[in-house]
Amino acid sequence: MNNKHNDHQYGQILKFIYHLEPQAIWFSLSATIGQTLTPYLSLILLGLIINAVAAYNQSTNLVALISIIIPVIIVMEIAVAYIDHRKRVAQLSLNNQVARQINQKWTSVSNSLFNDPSFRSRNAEIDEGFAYEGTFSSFLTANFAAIINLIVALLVAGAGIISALISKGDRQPELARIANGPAFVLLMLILLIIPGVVAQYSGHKSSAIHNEAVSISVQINKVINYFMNHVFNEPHVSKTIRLYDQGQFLKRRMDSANTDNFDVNRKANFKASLYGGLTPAVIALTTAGAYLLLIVKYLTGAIPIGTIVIYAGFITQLISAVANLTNQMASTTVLTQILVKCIGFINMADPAASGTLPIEKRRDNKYQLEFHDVSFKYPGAKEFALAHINLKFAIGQRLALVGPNGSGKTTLIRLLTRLDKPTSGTITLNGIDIQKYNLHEYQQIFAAVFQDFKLFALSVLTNVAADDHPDRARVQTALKIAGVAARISRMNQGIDTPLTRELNKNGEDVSGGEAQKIAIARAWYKDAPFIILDEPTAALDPISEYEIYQHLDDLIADKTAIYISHRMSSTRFAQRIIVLNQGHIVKDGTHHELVNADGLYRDLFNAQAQYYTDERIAKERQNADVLYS
Amino acid sequence: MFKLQTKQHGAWRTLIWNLKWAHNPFFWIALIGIIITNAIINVVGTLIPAITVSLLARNTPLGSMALIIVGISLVLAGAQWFGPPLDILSKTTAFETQMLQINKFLYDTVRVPYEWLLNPKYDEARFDAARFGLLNMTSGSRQLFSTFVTLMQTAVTIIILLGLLFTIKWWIPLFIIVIGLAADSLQRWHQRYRQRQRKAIAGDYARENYIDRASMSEDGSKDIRLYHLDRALDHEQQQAIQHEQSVNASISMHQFWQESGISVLTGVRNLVIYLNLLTAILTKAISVAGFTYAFNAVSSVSQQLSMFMVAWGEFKQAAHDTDNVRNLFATEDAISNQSATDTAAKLPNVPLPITFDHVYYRYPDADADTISDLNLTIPESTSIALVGVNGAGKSTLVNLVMGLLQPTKGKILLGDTPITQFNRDDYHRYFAPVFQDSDVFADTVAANIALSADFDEDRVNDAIDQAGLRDTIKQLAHGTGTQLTHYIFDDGVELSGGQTQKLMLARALYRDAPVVILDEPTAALDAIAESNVYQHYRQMMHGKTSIFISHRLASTQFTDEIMFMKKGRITERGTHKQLLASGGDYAKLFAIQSQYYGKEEQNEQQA
Repeated sequence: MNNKHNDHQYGQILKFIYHLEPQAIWFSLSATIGQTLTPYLSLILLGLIINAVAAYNQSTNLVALISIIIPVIIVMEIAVAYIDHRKRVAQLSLNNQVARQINQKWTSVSNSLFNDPSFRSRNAEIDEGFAYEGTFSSFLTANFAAIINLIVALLVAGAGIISALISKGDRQPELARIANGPAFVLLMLILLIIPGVVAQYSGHKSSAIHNEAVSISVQINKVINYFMNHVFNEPHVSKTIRLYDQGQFLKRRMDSANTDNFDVNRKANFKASLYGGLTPAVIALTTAGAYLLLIVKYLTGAIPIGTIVIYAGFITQLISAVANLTNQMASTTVLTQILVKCIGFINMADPAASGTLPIEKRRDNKYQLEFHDVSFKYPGAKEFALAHINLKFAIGQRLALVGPNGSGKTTLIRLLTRLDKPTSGTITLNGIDIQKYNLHEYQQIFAAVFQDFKLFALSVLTNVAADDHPDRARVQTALKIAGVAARISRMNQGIDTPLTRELNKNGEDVSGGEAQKIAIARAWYKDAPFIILDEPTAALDPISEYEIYQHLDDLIADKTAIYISHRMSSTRFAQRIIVLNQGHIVKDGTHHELVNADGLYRDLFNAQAQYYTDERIAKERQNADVLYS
Repeated sequence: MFKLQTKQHGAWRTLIWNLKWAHNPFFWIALIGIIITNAIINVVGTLIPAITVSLLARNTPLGSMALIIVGISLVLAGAQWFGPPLDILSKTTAFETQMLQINKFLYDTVRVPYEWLLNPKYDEARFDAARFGLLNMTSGSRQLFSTFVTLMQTAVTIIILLGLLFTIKWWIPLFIIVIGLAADSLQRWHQRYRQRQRKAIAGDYARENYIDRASMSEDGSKDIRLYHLDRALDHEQQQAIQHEQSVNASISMHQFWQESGISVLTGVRNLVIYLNLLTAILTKAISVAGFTYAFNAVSSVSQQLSMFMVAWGEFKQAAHDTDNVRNLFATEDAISNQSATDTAAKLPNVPLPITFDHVYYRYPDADADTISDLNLTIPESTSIALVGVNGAGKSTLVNLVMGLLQPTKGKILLGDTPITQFNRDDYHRYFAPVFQDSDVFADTVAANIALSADFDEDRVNDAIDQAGLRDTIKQLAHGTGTQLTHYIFDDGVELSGGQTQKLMLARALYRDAPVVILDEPTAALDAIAESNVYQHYRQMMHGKTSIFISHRLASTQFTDEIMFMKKGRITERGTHKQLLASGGDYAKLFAIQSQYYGKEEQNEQQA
């Protein structure tokens, strides 16, 4: 039952490898066959010499024998080394292709799957598995090779052993009766099988111990990883740790996690190793048995003395191959499970990206988006983040979303761009539910600048064009419109300069304001019908903020724009303002209408504006005038 | 200043240094056990065919033959069975040593001067220590231990096998060693080639690694989707893979030449020895059993010998790699111990004036000073707003005040005492900072505020109230006992940006230190929450010195004094009114920000 399950998994894994890099299979196969065959040649050589010497044959034959077999072994070894080289290259390519597939999965799935904790934890499991158990190439060099090894051993050694068993002698009659009988054959078979049985048993036992340890240490490892990757790894956390004197306390927590980890590992590894040594020990004993059986054959005159050495060697090879395979089968189920999980991860279904309708290309940008009674609740949350939203975006209009922290502004944007899917209600594009469109094409109608926008350690050009075939002239224009062209042209390689020095010594760092402007250039370059600006100036000083405001007109032009900001001043750019509170739309109108009516908008606006009253401005101007006149 | 030690300690000294980490007597027991079992397995394994042949040649009775063979194989089986547990015992020591070193490596980042973390050279030294010594299973202390064990076990086995061979033909052991040395030099030739080539692909690995992280990181996920950035990332990865693979293929091809060379050497060696043994056996100079032993021993010895040679090379390499770790630790310890031995001044617990006396500061590797010739006194118990454009030096200034950075030139005084005279950790206690980047730890709400395992419940609640966090905490399942972040607990709560900033404020309030530093604490707050912070600001900071950095100039009106910073100096100083009246840079900055809040008509006129 277990084996059948394994067969199925092996087939699945081989098919996956074959699809990515068929050479990896062919070269692993031939390298294993070659490696398995070479030791037999030495064994045969030794046996033949002993036989010849024992029988007092002509010495010239032996010189010729050695002089032929040794060069054959050399040639074989060189051939195997070459195949092995090809195997290494193919396996490297295989592992790289897998890494690429995993990354492509991450970057292409819908955001809902991306944020699904089970998706992330599945990947973490695969990563950990790759680090501790091995990858697809280890499957080829371990499990796959073990099978091939056994097949070759069965063919070669099996033939030799059978010939030893059927050869009959009559020198010592009472011994010959036993040696030529069926019980003798049975005994030999039992010798071959015992190590396999033991290997199966001990492999099961030790992998059970390991699995138990792994399940205990999952939580411990989480804690250790937290300290390694987050607590003691970032300068800004280090600042807090120093100033709040947290070092000792956090170190004690890390140390105790480590002590737990040591305990679990020590116990499990030691226990498992007691089973691990069982198989080689049994092989040693069965080899002795095989010697004895062959000695009996020799005593009856069935085989010459050198042949004992040959066949004993064959039997050891065969027993090892059997034990190796059964051991692999039992203990590397962890590896095959990881690989099957990896294949499952790469092929994981993505329901949120199931839409297939293409997006109609419209030069007039007439894309009509509308919310119909849309509600949304984050997974695990008690309250709705958005409730019963009805909203129609007018084409070409600039709309500001306003509201306190947690009122649902960002959620609304996430639903609109299909980063999340409404819990109930529908959003339509030109009358059709947006979920029905091809996710990828649908997301291309938006150009967004998020508060937590991200630039990558690639060239400015690639960052702006987001494409491997960028239009250089258009990138220049985009940078000019964003007001950062002069800064970029001063860089050592102009628009080809990599951002940050993380990956390239010639890279250059940019300030927060400059990065923001590059992100805006990227949005302009995309030329999408909808522009979304989510808190694009939160971290900027007033001058940088002002400069960005100056470029908004060029950026938006005649497109539909949606703007979120806590700086109420920005709403001045909007033709329509939607005020959200606790997931509901509470106001909808122009700045003029809203600021002149009681309500949240006026409160929010005044909360900030009170510090910038016009009396003060007037006074300041007066003073400035006096000073400058 | 960070200056890395670059001592070469030598392989054996480095081994002894490593042995002190996870000191465990089991390691020595395991080592001796491994030496014995390895010798048994290899010597007895090699002897069995020869013994069989010898027994048969002497016409030994079947019964005693069976006894002898079974007896030998029992010994062999015992050695095989004990092998893995002994191996685990020695590996455990290696693993634990490496883990303890990793812990120190991590913890040292908060012991060394903060400035080091901003120094690319320190970063590089840490990167090297990690790559060559700590976060790698096949280098550093782990490799040092395992290669040491291999050296010991193979050395003993080789001596026994060669000793036996010596009695058969004296020159064979010497010949084997000579060929072994030749094979080893081939191996070194390949290692050198590999190391040279590896340098060419370090950048490719870094790129592949970066794409791996970027693809699955939450912070770029929206941009990747909405800008179809998967194409650019995949393209980058493909390029890195292509280059890396072509270099690795040539390394692999080189390895093929090396292996072929060794095959030829071994083949020739075998040819010479076998033919010679053949002559010896035909002239009856040696027995058939002796021949059988010699034949098998040649391959066993050469196998052990090549293991020994490889291990010796790796042992020295591992020691060399571990020098990266050892030198880093020595450099770190030197500075941390130095700051601990200072005779420290007693830290006051009331606000005192803070004075900058001709202070300069330049970041490591920077071309220009960030702070230049700064003279400044911050009076005690006043609230200061620090204003200026991005990059003016505001955060640097507060980092200098808090002792995170040390002036390149000049000195900073607390009262009349230069701050270098305080114990560094003591001195930090004088401040309660709130930073732009907020750091929520994987712990409970209360522990995050008090930053201590035993805390004053009432004071935690006070801090929560003052920071305006009461409603948020009420909604959490376990109140102040709720676990935050899901780094450790899957059901941990992730606070929003605004909530996190309030939590950071509560943390600073709980600390109740003489000086409060607020670096952009309201950027993620909505207008009403922001205004609330301002309204309570004076009350919260009562009796304390406070420094408030904010781009929202509204905040400045709640402080006693405004300092305007430009290019590393304070260029304007005074109250809001005074600075507006003077019409300088502050006034201009305020005008830019306030124009949007004026009357609509005005605004339209301007536009």
